[in-house]
Amino acid sequence: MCLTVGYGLDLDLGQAKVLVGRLAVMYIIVLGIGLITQFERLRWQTAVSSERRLRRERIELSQQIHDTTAQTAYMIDLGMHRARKLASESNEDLLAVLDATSALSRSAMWEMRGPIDAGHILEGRELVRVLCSHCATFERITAVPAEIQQSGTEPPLASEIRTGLFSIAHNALTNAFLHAKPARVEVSLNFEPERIKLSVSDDGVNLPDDYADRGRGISGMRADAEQIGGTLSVESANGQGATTITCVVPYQGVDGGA
Amino acid sequence: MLNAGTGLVKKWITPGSLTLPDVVIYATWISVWGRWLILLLGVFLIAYRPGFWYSKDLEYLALPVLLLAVNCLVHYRLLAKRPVTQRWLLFLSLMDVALITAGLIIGAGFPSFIFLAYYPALAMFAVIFSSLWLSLGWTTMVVLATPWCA
Repeated sequence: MCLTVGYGLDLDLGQAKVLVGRLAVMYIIVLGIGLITQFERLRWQTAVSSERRLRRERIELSQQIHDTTAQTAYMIDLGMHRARKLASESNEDLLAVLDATSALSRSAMWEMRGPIDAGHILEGRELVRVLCSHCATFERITAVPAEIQQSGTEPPLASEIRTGLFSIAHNALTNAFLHAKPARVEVSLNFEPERIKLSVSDDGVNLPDDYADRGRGISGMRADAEQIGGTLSVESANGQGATTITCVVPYQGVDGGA
Repeated sequence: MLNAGTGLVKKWITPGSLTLPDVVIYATWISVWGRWLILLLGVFLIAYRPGFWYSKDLEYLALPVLLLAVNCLVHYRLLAKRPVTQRWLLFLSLMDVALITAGLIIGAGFPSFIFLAYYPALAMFAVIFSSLWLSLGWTTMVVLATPWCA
């Protein structure tokens, strides 16, 4: 018995069975792999949409903080200044209370700038651009001159990397403002061929020897650095009153979209 | 009207994920490395046979060389970060099927061991395009090409 398929493929029954079997295996393989990949694609799309929703919520939250709480803190600070002017110079206790409250309100204003400017990072803005505006805000709130220096051009970086570096810069500035009482701070961002180097320096009071055991500032920054595949180092010159916090992130595995 | 129809068909057969450039690049990397692996295994299977240096077998050798050249080109484009689109992926898959079919035509037809190369080629297509309908359509095209392999 002979089977003719298409253009002259004459097969006996045994061969025809083999051919049909082979063709059936093709469909089985494609169907099996197709179903697996479709299932995986669905999971991937669910994860991506969930991440997008979280990101959108964070951006909305940062906008809400900016429009409500941050504005209120700003108004409180203005009120403190006004109250200080109205208070009699002879009432030193009242002045001290007003100064302390003003410092607290400025501290709160600065803390709120973290999530607000992090929202700009999530919106896809370049790190340098966000840090420039962050330093300008730091200077306005704390009255401490903040300078930013950049070398190299910022490549397209994944939002995780930009968020991590921004968080480190913000926390380093917060530490300087709250603990070091500096005359000036400097943020430098170097885009080198193999790595990104972020440094935040201040000329204030040295870090205590046991700084690693105190608070969570440095350990938080170190965790941020590790999360983006980088390292964090802290240099505090004994007696010279200068602290530099440096984060280095190698480019390997760093490039990505917004 | 024609454009709308083409768009509808394109939407139907194209997986949503492949509209993202990053996903296309990722899929192309998988495709290129998968092809290197299959190519190496194919060359090994051809070279390992005792009667390799028959004149007919030399014709076989032209096929992996062509595959190697095209895969090199795509690999270079990926390394040089040049744009890679869905059309490249489709072209590579079409080339896989065409070369395997050519191998069968040159050789002993469908009983040849080269027939087995259809399986990884189709499997790779299903992984890369991840559209079940497109993969089944592609398989049907391969099945219909079988009569030419006599």
